[in-house]
Amino acid sequence: MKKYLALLLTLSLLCGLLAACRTQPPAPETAERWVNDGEPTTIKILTERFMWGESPSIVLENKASHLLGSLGRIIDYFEHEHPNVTVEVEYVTIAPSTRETEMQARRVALMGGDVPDIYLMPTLSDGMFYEGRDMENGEYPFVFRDPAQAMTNGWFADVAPYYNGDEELHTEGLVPGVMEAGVLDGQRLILPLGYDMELMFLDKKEMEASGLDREALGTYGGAIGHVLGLDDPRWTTGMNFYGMQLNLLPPLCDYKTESPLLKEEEAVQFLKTVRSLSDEVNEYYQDYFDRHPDVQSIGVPYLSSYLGGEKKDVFSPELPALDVPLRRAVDVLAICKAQGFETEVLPVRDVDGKLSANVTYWGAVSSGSKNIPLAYEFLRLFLTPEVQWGGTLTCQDGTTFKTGFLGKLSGSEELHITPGWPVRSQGAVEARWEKIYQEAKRYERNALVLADKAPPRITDLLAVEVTDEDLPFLAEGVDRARFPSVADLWFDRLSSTVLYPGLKAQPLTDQEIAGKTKEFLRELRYHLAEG
Amino acid sequence: MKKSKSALQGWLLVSPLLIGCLLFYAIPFVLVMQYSLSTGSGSALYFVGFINYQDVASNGMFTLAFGNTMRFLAAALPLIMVLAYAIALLMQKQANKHKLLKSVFLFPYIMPVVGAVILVELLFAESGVLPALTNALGLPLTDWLGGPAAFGVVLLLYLWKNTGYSVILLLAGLVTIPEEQYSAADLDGASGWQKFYYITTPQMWYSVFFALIFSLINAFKCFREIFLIGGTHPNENIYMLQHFLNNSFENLNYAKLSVASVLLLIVVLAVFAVFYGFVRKKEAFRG
Repeated sequence: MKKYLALLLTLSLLCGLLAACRTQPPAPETAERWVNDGEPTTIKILTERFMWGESPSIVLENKASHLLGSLGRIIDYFEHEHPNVTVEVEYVTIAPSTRETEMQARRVALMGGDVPDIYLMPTLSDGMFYEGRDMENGEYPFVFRDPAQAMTNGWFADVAPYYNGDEELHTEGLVPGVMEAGVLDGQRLILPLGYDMELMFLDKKEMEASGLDREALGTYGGAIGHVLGLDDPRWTTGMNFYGMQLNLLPPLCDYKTESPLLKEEEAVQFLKTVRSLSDEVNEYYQDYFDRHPDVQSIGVPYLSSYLGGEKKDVFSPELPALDVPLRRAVDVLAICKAQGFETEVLPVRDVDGKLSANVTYWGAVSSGSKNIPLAYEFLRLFLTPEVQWGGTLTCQDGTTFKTGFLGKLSGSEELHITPGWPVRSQGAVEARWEKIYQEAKRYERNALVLADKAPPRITDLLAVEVTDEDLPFLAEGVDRARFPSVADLWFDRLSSTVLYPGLKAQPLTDQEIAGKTKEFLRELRYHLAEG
Repeated sequence: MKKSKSALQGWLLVSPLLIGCLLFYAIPFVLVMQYSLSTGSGSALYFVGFINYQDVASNGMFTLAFGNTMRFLAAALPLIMVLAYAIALLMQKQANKHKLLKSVFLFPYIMPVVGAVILVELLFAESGVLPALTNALGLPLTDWLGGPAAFGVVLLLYLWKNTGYSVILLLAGLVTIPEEQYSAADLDGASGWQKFYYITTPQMWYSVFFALIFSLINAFKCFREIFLIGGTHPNENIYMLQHFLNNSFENLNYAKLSVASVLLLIVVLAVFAVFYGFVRKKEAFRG
């Protein structure tokens, strides 16, 4: 009797195991886009309230998010076009106090099969580092701690058949190097929607006077060496980058073999370079603030502040260099031109001279979605010019839905729905400049109501123009793009101890740098093996 | 008729337990087995055979974690059983006279995990008592919590925390052995060892088995202390299977998580089956 019972139990177990199993059918080269059959359907999106450059605490403090309004309008557009489709949005909780607990519950739900149709996610950004540093455990938990790793774990559906056949999308206008970041073994699993990289803004006149050689700035190490060799510490201030420092190193790891590619000596050499630079920069800034006690802060000017009347020159003889993220390049360049500066804009290349970018925002169709064609149909909207450049979506019946922020410049300068620089880079400079121009015209109109003429800062801005020729490297594309992950947070913690040794007030020794690098690589090996 | 009615009543009585086991153990177990043989998410799970098992078996961190866990069990379980058995034997005659002593043995067991960790930090951390003492004596400094010695610290913590519980379990078995048997043995001139071997041991196998199972469960619970001491990625010597499982969960790699769980289950079941089979053969259990 017992033997028969055991046999029955084993058979039931096997049946249960195999019941829900099926082999994955091979994906076609192209597939038909979704056709509305009129049946009521719902698609679900899982997303965050914050985005690149707008950290959770800012969103919490302001009780508002630049992302939400635009996402709402895109959903309204889609539902208006397809009245039988309902788009539901689930926001991951934002409050740090409850986020970890709720994240655990959400992960369990994902494991249990409660997956959305679409993931729409920001990546770790500059703002997140401050968030991470404030957290007790040092990490603000994301749904996907490492999107590139998640691609290898079967979370996302392959949308290549739809993407490849989507002629209306004009995918040739998207930056290939960035879009490739979402491809794994020929499968298009993630659609990057925005990206960013660091740029050096240099006062051309001062550059020529000081003998700074443009060609010598072709690699990160070379640039630092050249600048330090000039014995002119003013230029170091334009190379003091925070945040995405892993972009400046060779590729970090191979997710398929689960092994780090970054060698210990490469990381140590990089950090020693950072240490040499930070010594100079910290000393120079200390001296600068001693000589200018009235100056509260220095940094990249905001366009809204400039239009609002802030009198601050982009460059000065003492500060002829700035590091500016790509997403703000057009704004800052416009101010430079309006203030009469001739500016050299150079992308910061990694230690091997490659142009490396990081994805700031991405979307993916869940592999567990029951309606992949419909989910792709919604997601592709984020790659259209109207959404990428903050324009207007027009329905077939003529109803319009404006994306972006209703034409107004926000405090964080994010005019586009997709944070970062648009992956639809061809035409982005022109689109961005058009927005700036229209906004400056609005300021001019307001000023003329109160006075006979507009302030010079407005007229100066309206007299200039920013075009693709001002950012020629954009035509090059990028050599590689990566998804920031928890590894970036760990490396930032490591490099910030080099940049800011803290109360010790002594730079870290070579031995300390080597020890901390070993620790970082150890954490990375664990992360790769466990993910 | 009466027998079948009685059987039906029995089934009805155990049905809530059976339903609970089915919902919270059996079905999740089948799901875990499915995940271990599949890739994908939600309703789109695709069978990939034993590829996940191959990947996990060749995963360096998994083999490290698995090895550490087995090493810990191999060291901790025999030690705790020997220690607890020795203490229980010493207390056998005093148990009824000093009932408060039994409660004292449980104090470490009921101490909150955080309290135990604070104690460990006070003793073994860089600024703790032991490093200060060794430094004062001119002995070389040891990283007790971040180096190879961490394994010994964790083992010690486990023994300190859980021995008392095992003592109570074994003592409960010892006090049920009739005193007359020992008296008769004394009359026959039996030595202490002979009494232990021929009277105590045969009647204690079930209690030993019971204590061993609970010690095994408590050994896995030790992860909480290790996590608080060493974080998500502690020193390599105390990186346990639960760390691997926990971190795989955080990274949303459910395939690895499921495979590791299944492999652990197989090993634990094997150990359980071997010891259970051994105990069943013993006379006392048959009785």
